[in-house]
Amino acid sequence: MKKNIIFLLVTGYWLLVTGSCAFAAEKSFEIRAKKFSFTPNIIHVTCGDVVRIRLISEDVHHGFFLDGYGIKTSAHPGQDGSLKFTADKTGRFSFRCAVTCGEFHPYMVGYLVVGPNLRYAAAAGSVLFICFINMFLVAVRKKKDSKDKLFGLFDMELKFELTRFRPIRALFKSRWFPLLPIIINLFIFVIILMAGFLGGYSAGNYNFGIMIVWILWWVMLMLVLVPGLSRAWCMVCPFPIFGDWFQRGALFGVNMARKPNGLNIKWPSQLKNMWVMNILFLVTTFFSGFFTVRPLATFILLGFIILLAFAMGLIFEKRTFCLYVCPVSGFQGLYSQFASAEIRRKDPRLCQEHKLKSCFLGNEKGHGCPWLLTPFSFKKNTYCGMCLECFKSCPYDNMGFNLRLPGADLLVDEKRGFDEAWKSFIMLGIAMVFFLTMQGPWGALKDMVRAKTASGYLVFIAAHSIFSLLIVPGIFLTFSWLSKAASGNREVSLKKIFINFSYTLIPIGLGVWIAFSLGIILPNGSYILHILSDPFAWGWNLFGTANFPWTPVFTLAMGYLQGLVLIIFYLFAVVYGFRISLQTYPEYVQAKRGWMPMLCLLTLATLVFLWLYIG
Amino acid sequence: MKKTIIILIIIALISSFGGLVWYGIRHSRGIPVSPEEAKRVTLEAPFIDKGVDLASGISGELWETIAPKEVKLMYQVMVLPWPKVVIPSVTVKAFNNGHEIYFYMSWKDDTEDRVHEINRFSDACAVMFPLGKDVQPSTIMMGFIGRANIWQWKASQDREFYLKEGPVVKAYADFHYPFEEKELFPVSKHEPKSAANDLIAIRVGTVTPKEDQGEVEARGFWQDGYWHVVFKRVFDAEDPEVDAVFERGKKRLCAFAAWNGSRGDRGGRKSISDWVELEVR
Repeated sequence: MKKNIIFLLVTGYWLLVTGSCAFAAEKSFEIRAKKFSFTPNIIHVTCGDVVRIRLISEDVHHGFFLDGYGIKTSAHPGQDGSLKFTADKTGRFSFRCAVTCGEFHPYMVGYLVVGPNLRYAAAAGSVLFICFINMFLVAVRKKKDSKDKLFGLFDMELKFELTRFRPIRALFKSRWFPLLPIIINLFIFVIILMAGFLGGYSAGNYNFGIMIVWILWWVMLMLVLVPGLSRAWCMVCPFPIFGDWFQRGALFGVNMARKPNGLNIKWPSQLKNMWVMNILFLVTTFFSGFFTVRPLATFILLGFIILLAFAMGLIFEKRTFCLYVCPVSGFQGLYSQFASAEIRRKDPRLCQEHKLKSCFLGNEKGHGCPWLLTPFSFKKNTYCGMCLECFKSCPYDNMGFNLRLPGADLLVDEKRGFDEAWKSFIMLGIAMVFFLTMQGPWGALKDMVRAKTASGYLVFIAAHSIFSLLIVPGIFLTFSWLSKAASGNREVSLKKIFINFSYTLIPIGLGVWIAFSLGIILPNGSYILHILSDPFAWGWNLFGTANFPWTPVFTLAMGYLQGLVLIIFYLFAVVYGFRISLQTYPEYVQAKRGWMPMLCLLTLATLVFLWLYIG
Repeated sequence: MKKTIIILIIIALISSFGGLVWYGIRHSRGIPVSPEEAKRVTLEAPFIDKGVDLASGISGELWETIAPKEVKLMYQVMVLPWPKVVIPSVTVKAFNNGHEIYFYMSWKDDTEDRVHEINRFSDACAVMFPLGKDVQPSTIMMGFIGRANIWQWKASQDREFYLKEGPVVKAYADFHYPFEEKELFPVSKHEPKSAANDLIAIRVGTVTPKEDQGEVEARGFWQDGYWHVVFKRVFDAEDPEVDAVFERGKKRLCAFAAWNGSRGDRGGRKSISDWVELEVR
């Protein structure tokens, strides 16, 4: 009986979302294409409508590719393109320019909404359903003394040590690892820099530097590396290697007797947090309209980061740059708290008994932690760059690389602060601004981001900064205050509530970025095949893929995937959120009541992003 | 290590990077470095009291008596992906006999592509004459803003016109303009009146066949890896608004283009020359 009901529910849901449509009406649209927008930018039809589209170009050769339907046409000025199709798939689908028309070409999109948008309705319904279920469960839940389990299924302490396998431990202890991947990576970045320099102002979608950095690397970072392997990118990042080599005076070995080169100044204690990274990353995004589309701009950005990393290596001790300055490091640190992997000591007693902390100080086998941390007391992933030196320097093999439940660090009530809270807000703000400007259909916003006019560009910078630094935190502060008021507790400070609950935004933010990345890689990933064969646009065809045409993939599934990702990460935010509430308020009843406003906020935030992505 | 050494290293690094960025900004694609004076090739069209009957050939012996000019070709300016092949140069000649004017074009092409089908493109060549006084400094984009009269010979059309071998498919995509019932799409001509198209354009995307075709004749032969194409038209322009005007003793501008069908050239994807000065004697 129970199985039948589940079967009926699943089938009904599937039919609701993907059900075919009967003929409705015939609708014609004249869509005018002009760099870098379509007019009208959003068109609405009903499922079953026969849609005729006439594409008119007002400047250069433009294309029209419709996601989900996989059909396309193109138009020259004076020679229109046309399409006719039956809108038999419901939901919102992007139509995008299919002919490289300038630097913002990959961001030239419009929306076709085939109503009723059941896909969005189902996703929003699922979020509200989870919200109500959580409210109900929290309301009826009684304090339990039994072991905490995620979703009532998985022990929160569940871990699986990968380094228990000898080959993996041997690999981690070898001085060749991660040096060899770093050197390979360095080689790739040399090509990226060359391609960026040589590519100059040409359109980025056929440039090796742009495609590898902003399409492949960024997407892999958000989609795989950070959620799966924590700061694995930092492990193989080539940027600080020149500083390391200079400080150590050696390319490979460890020489404890040698005094490090450089000035080895300590980073100011008031800046030992994420604030510099927060500001630098935000400022970097001001130039997103250049970095992500102009090869030379990418060259300047990467070159500047490499130069800064080296210069800081000359002045400050160890990897101060990675720890407190690198713009990429900050969000990786924040989101790595949700990662399914960690580096931790294995047996705390061994570390206690080992008075000479070689993981921190170093020995003849490995350098002392380049990230200036104490690996013997790791509790969070945030600042661990996974350089693996502690594996090499620990004489007792007491460091372990574990797989674990996603989000385990969110419950670690240690070193929480405003800097990490603001990192969450900034990342959410940037995700929204990036989506609006890169995947949204509003040409005016694109013109602002690409600095078509100086005044428009300044408005973009001001609006982006105010939104990310003030409005998002302001909304969060309001709900934190509501949480405090609802809890009935007057002792817990608003600051503590604000900071603690800000960690619930980590799963939401990560989900938002993963969904955003899907919208980048699926339509544009095929350019990578071209640039691999012809990295410098010199007419090479190294792997026979230089002439591979632009081929968007899984564009029908994209909306479903984005919705699913947002729902899954919302679910994690909810289950961790209530536990954070329990940490924040001393009384169980207060935690229940204080949780409700924050649950509403998380639900609202997810619904907003769902609407943005597929609504 | 001394502080001064560190400072010096940092200054050296910043200066080097700054220099590199400055060089990149100055010399990157898309930014002109410095304007260069155009050195134009002059093509003479001498008076020769002879004519060529294209129906029977292009009179190769006659052309051998006329001095050739080598005109360099370059890529047509396009947004990416720009064409990855270029026809390096074309040999051009011209003469007039008082009643008619003739142009000869020859260029290297390893394959004779006379068929135009899906994903298969025809070889072609064209000569363009700017109209009016508003001649733009560059030939890109078919004169860009100024008007132009273009004579385009297509190998596929030559095959159709002279050899009477038509395309297998009579009607093709956009044969009927979808929004206006039964109106013929203007570029879909299925019965050519000549092997050449007599076109007018005012910028990219505005190429339009003139209503009266057949004034411009052309014929091409492929031999030993070279195309030899001859254009012919009545010397005096019928309508100076849309026809190229030639005047004895005066210099006019013209430009040449060639398409290599087997390398994917079609439409705007072609090799073009800069302006050439045409001196009719």
